Amino acid sequence: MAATDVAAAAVAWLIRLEAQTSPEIWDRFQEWLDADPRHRAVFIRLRTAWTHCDRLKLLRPADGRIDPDLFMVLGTPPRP
Amino acid sequence: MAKDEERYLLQALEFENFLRACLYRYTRNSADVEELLQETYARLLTAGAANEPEVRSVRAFSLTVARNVAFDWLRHKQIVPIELVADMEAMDVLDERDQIDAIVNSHQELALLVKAVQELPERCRQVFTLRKVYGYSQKEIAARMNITENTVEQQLTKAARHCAQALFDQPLGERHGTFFDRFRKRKQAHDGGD
Repeated sequence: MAATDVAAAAVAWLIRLEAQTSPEIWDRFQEWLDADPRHRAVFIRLRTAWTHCDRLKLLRPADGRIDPDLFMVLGTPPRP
Repeated sequence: MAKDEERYLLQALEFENFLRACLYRYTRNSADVEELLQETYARLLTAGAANEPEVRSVRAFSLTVARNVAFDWLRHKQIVPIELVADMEAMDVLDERDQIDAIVNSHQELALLVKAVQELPERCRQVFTLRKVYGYSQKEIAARMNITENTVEQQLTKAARHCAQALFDQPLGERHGTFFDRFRKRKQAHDGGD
């Protein structure tokens, strides 16, 4: 299976599992993981990157406003 | 413990562009490099699960694994690689002095991530922002933006792919130059009896 196909499947699973799940979905996910050792490795890689993105919570403005266009207001990120 | 088997892979992810640069020695084709990289990671997972003594240097170990993967692949294609042995041994010098790099890297990483998010198409970026900055669930995002949960899922998938690429796939031109410059400087210091 091509590398891009594995990556595409992995990211689809990653996001799918963050939504409503069921035992059947988890079973299918496990089947996919077990199908090829590369699946698990690529999934972990994507999960790691996705978790790194949680750092972006630091950019939440202090006044509690929700702004979906927050990133367009930012220039370069402030140095911590 | 299941999580333990990921330890080599997780450490190797932090220097993915190093592994990638090494694999580019064996093939110029980026699709092939991706395959070799995935196979390398799969083997690192297997190694992590094996009941073997702890690897002393994950960087050197990952390099060895990557090289073996490349050799297996080339052997399969019946190509004989010309190996510069002295070059490969000198790469072990890079194990030390990584802390400063880590700090610099995290600033760079945040800047890269912000830039990557700014590149996303508008709706994709908004969905991503609500999810990652504000912690909205996919259901909550769908409700707030008046779109289906399916659409939210699609947009997050696109965003996740793009961000992973920004974090891990440094463009070979930019980082590659920096990496080998640092390597050359350290090699000089090392050879000078540092």
